[in-house]
Amino acid sequence: MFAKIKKNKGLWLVLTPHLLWIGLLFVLPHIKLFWLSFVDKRSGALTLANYAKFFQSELYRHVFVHTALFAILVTLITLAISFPTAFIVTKVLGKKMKAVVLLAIVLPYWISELIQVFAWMVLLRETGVISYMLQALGITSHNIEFLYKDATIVVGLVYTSILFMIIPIINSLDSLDDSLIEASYDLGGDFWSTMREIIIPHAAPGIVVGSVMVFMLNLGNYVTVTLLGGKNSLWFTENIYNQFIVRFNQNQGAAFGVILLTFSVLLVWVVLKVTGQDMTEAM
Amino acid sequence: MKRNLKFVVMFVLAFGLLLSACSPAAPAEEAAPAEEPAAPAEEPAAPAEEPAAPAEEPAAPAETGGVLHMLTWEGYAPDALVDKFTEETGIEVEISYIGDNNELIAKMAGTNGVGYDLVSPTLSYVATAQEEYGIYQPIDLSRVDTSQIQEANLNSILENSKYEGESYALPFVWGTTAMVVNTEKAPDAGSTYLDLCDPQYEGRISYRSKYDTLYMFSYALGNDPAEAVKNEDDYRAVMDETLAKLIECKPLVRTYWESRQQMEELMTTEEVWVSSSWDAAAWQLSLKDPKFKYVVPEEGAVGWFDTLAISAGAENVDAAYAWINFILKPENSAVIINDTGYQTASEGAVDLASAEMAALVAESLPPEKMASINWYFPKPPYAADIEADVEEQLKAAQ
Repeated sequence: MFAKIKKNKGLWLVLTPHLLWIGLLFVLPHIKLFWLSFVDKRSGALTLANYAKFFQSELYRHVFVHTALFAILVTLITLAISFPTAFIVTKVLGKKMKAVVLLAIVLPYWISELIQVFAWMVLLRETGVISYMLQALGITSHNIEFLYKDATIVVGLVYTSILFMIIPIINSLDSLDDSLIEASYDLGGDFWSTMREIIIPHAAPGIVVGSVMVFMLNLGNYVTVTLLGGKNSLWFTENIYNQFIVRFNQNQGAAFGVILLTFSVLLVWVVLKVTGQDMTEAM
Repeated sequence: MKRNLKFVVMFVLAFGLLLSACSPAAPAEEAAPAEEPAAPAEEPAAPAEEPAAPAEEPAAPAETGGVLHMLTWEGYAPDALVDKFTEETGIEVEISYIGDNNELIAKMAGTNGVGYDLVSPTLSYVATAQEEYGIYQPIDLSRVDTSQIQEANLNSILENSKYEGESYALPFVWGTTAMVVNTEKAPDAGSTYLDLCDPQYEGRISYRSKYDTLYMFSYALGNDPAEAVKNEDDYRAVMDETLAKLIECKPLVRTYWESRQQMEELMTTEEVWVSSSWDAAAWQLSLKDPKFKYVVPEEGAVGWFDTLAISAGAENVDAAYAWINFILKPENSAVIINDTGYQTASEGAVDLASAEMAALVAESLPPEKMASINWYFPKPPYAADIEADVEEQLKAAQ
């Protein structure tokens, strides 16, 4: 492969910005982060104390587990919403409708996550749109506060991650020949067995890619969680932020960052092994 | 073809991921000083009444030139003043904004101050940051027009920003933190900070989960954090007691507000009736609707003082002093008072500010309330850790 690249100067030209980007903005900072996490803030000596602090503190462990479980929950909910949507878009809708629906899915992502969250706050706050509409419809007689709850965080996170699940699934379903589905029915399969035997196995690479991306995004989310969660938000990224900005303890913050990264990589690896998927193949 | 399409889709997605990772700037965290867009309408069209003074100016700033790099809070260098400064001195001004003192220190410490000439840290952070990171340079008083600075403030700031015998800061802008009350919904609130934990206002209460709230509740519980902070164990004891109280109060709180704008929204929608507030933010609410009042309870307001300090890595020290002498002129400081609602250390500036604002200040902070202000105290490194422990435990408490 490299021999091929060597011959092809044009390819190098295309690759260079990408390599610089990854190298300078991704690889280098992570090496530095990794290094910092093993250094004592005061003495500058090598130490494991930053990691010990995490495992000794009940608070940090609790927040970490809470974050991980909620990130998994959000991924599952996102998948439950995205798979049927992707199926309808690829297999049910006509060409024109497909374009319209795809545009509708992508459109909200043209604005930043922060603005999306503010929009949710306008909808969900006690004096907000949804509370008002429920009263107008006579369903309730007083204002209802939807913000500052775990459920609110889940809604916000699912919303901001749906696109990253739908597109890979659409991509993999697109390559499924409709005649295979017809054949399944011809051979006596019903809806569920066709789904189980034909459709889901074919879409598996898309499902895995989507789930991995959504899980990673949510595990590292900060804005959505703090704004929608208010007094009850409990997300590990807030502890990392505190270490860097409030306590000036870059080393401790780096250790927390490495722990979060290691955990997510491990979990993704386990899921890939268990489901028998290969990330490079899935891509 | 299929592969190419896949590649394009993945590329677009990856790019989207990167964008979404980069874009969400942390919410304008605890912007002590305001995010007020300038209100040029209120500006005292001053230049005409600009008598004398220039003769006293030590340097001849007109010849300084160059660029002045400032790191400051929003509202502290309004466009109108920046333009005026450039016109008078020929110095171009480039401003970066901070939302938090720790952010300022983190930015400065990263480069040992190179890249910034003039910064505006809060007083309580100056000496400790100098001790730990050495990011400032001593103030050369002979280059400052001290006649236009209120004397008491000047002396106190010089004294309190001392590290190893040198002063590192000049007084600039100050304000207080206490409570804002919706007097229609909660007419009786405001006599003590413990009203922020009164069951009759259940769900109608808000404050920050940050150090200023910890100070308020410590004072309300009869402790003196300014004294306790001198000893690590004492401070932890005081803060643990405060934490226990705050956890007890948590069910009554609607949410902990994160930014001034969020607090103002909570008040104007009447989702919250009683909240902690910076004085200027509360006065802005009063100006919109007089039912909102800034009230200082019996424990006294918590006061902060933002300073002017020169970076250890400053490349244009002349320009920094030129700005110091410019911004503390009464007619220029008056613009800041009108725009932000904060007070300045400039002698006589308040007389040039708008009458409306002056009346609000006089009503909320009469002399006896002024005298009872609990000023932010210098924080040893362990204090920030203790406060962060409390904040994290409070957030995690159910």
